[in-house]
Amino acid sequence: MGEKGHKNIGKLLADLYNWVIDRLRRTVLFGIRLVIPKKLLSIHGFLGMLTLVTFIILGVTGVLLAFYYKPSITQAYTSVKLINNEVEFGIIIRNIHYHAANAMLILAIYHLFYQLFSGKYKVRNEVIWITGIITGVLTFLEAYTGYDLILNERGVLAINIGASLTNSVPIIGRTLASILLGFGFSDIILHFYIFHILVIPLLMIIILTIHLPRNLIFDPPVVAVLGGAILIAAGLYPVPLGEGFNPNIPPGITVPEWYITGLYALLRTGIDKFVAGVLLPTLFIVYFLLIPFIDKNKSMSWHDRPLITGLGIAGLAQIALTTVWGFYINPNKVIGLAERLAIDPIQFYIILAIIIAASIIASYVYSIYIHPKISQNRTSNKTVKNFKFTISERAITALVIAAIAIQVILTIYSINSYANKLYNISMISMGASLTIFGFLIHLARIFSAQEGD
Amino acid sequence: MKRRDFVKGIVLASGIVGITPFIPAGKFLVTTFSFKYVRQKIANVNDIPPNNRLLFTYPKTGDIEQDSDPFRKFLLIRLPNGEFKAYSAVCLHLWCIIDYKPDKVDIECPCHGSTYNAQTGVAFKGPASKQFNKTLPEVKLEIDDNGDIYANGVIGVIGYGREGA
Ligand code: FES
Repeated sequence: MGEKGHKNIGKLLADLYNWVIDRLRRTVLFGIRLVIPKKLLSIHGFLGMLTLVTFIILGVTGVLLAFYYKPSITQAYTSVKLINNEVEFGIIIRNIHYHAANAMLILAIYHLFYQLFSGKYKVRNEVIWITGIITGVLTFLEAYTGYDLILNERGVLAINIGASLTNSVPIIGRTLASILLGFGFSDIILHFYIFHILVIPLLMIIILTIHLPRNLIFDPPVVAVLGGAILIAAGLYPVPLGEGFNPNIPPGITVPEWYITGLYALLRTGIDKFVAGVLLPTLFIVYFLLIPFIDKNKSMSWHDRPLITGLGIAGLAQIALTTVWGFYINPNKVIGLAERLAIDPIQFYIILAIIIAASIIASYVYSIYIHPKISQNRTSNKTVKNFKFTISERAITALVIAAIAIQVILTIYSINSYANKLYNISMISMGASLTIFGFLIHLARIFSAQEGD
Repeated sequence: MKRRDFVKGIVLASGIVGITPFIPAGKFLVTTFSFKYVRQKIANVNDIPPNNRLLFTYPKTGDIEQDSDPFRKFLLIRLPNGEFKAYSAVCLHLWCIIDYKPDKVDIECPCHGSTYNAQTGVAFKGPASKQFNKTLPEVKLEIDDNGDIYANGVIGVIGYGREGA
């Protein structure tokens, strides 16, 4: 064999690759163009892609969890406990799944507001905007149906909120509840499971086909860092099992997950359940759906359309405020529980209204008085910074070797800590190693760009 | 009428007629049945002293999975005056499990403090009292000569209340 055999194998592999690629060109796969950027771009340009990456991570870890999970009243909690405590790597898969879900929601919200303020829903992107909002709502429902499946006290509180809200819808509520939830917890848990693992993800995939643009920016270094961040978060804040739900024992107070506390705050104001829990959130979503049709301004920049910008800021502030408020429970143990949890509706809704007014005023003031001055200043003393960043070959070599050495140490450390049941440390080191990998690919990119010069 | 339009019309009509039998199939998704509330013995009067309560499962199936359903949990209450009452243990607000408090002679929810009158099952405090439907579903009780207490049916819908009450 020797040199010649080596070449032949190389050629064979190349031929095989070309053969496959040629055939794949006939498939829908090549309708999508995956763009791998040659340099570090602002992540604002591909937040959607990062959200999609977390969705894929969730799909993979979710399938793995489904091998052990049992959707039944008596076995749901124990099966998750089994995954967490006995199944090899179960605790890590479960934590990745949980934190990837958090990451997906945060990225989706970030993505939404970036697109909103930069006016990206214009220029024939209206359909992409609307499907984006729908995917966002589905993402919320997916997270919501997911964290209830464990059937601990916290999960059951969330099931209760959702189920009684569905029932509270006038006229169709009872039928709707019967379709969505069935009757009794045995049905509910099974329905939530089917929604979580099949119906909602399937809908999301279908809607994503009319949301994803043809050109997708995929930046491996950033994706690696995102994966690392999820692992590090998993190690730092591992998700607890909580108390298993027992219908014979009244539950203690628990606050729902952070993405429902906003809704929880609305419910705790004590006004009608349907208005607080269904109508107001629906109006909020409908407003977002309508934005492209309200905003007829041709300009994309946010300071040219102060009304939309103001309302956008108001929306963001309202999400933040209600979310934080939902966590707050009056610590005064002397007064009764109802009083401790009650949120004064007048105060609450007035503050929400003030936020809208204040944001719109601030936005108008900025775009009429402040922004023109700033841009004047900017044009008058415009200094072009032309800063080129080059690294010497030796420095790169040293950096790369150091980075790989650290990666090796982290990997050994991770395996070792896993063996010693120090799962948190294991996850953090895995995450750190993945992050370094991200930096390394970035270095490689800089390096090959210099080569090209 | 052109021949073309006629053919189109026929195809359309045929399609509609063909689909019609499938329309009621939407009912497949609607769970119209709930549990079968048959007559069942739940306790004896001697099991429960006055001003006390007992959590019971109704209808009991013998299947652990089914019987652990909160929708099958009811509170049998013996009021201080000796009278027996049984209500669904699912709070009408957000479905937590409620409990009878002997010292206050009322039924309280641990979640957001809804409080129900033990005599009538009507919420008078907390979020459930502000709802349209604030009366707990009640179990029809029968006590025979031996002092055995039987449950025989439920008035109202669990988690939703007694409609119109
Ligand atoms: S669930 Fe009973 S008061 Fe809210």
